[in-house]
Amino acid sequence: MADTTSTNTSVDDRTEGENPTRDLLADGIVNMLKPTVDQIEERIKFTRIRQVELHQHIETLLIDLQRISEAQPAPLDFEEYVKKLTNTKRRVMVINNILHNAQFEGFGNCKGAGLLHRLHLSLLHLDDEVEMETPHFDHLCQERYSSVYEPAEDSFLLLDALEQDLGVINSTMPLICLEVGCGSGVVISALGRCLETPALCLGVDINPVACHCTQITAQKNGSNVDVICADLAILLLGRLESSIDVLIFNPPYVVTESAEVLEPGLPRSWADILTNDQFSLNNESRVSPGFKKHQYSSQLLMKDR
Amino acid sequence: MKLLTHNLMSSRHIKGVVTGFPLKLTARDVKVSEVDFNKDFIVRILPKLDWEALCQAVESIGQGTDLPRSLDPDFNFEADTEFLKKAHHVLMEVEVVSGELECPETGRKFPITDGIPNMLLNEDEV
Repeated sequence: MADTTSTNTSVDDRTEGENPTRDLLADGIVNMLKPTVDQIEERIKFTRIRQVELHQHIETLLIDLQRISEAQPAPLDFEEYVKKLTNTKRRVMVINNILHNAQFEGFGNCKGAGLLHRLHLSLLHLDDEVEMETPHFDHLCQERYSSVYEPAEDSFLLLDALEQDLGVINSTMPLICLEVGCGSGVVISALGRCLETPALCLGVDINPVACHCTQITAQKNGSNVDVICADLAILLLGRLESSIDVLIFNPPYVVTESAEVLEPGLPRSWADILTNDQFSLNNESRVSPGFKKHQYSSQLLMKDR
Repeated sequence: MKLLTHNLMSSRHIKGVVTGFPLKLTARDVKVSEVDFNKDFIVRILPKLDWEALCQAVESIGQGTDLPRSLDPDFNFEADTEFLKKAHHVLMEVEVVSGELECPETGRKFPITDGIPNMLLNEDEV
């Protein structure tokens, strides 16, 4: 795929405007590639269906395992397996996401090659030990946490991105790590656990239930996280200015009615688009100099996808 | 809420507040749990803190230790492990489970419940 692009570019360089030879050549190449592209698309469709099935299987298996461990009076330890399954689930979700994007973007451009490359990498790592384990979040199914954003594809993708950069993060020996909109607390808890040097891990969320949930997630996973219930970056004004070493932010990306911003709980967490923009405009100055590279937000995820 | 976190917070998000620091701390319930001492961490975090505000906070929750009220700029704390251990204790091991934070300028109170300070404001206060 990359070859096609380079040929096109060189022809482009030589000529300007109308060029029948170039058009003919381009058409020829496109026609030549089309059957393969169609085939790949067909395969992707098939793989995606399989992935979804696999995902469902893993989920039922997880539930079964949980049920067994609950029903089993004998001290049968499934913990390890549940952990492995959760990690695999995360990987499957990420691959699914890449496939989805591949299908969405189509293979007519060179992006397809990049996506395929990422897919290949993800598949290679499927069997690897996950460095950054997905924290347990079984307690999230409790009714009281129904208003907390459950870890989904974006959370897992964020965990993956953090995992990839874990070496870099650790090499800078961060002192203060902050996650804005920590929700279930899965991301900040996971990070807190794999830092090699001690650091203050802070989680901030506008939703009081989410704050509580983050605390429980951290406790259950042996991670030390301090939680503050507050409105986005407002707390960053003043004292925390230029002292944050790692800033994690997975902002809401669903466009919502402005009225929803006033509703408490989850709708409000999702609807803070306006503040969100203000935040991304200002956050450059909030992090400590020299650590500016380590901002993890959906922007990074978008790039990643 | 750790006293380290308290030292990094302010109430500057309230309309009209200039510094909003330090937040006056009152505690109903305090928990002390053991956290591994890491000398390097304390040495590196100290320059980021407001020492006097920390001492005030420690006193206000009745965890008074013999910490120096102010830090002499010439004080070589890196070499004083005893001092660093005390600082570690108040920064990392003491946690306020329930109580209140009060804005020094407006007197606005923010509750701390289950160790989580609630800094949310009403629409008209922002």
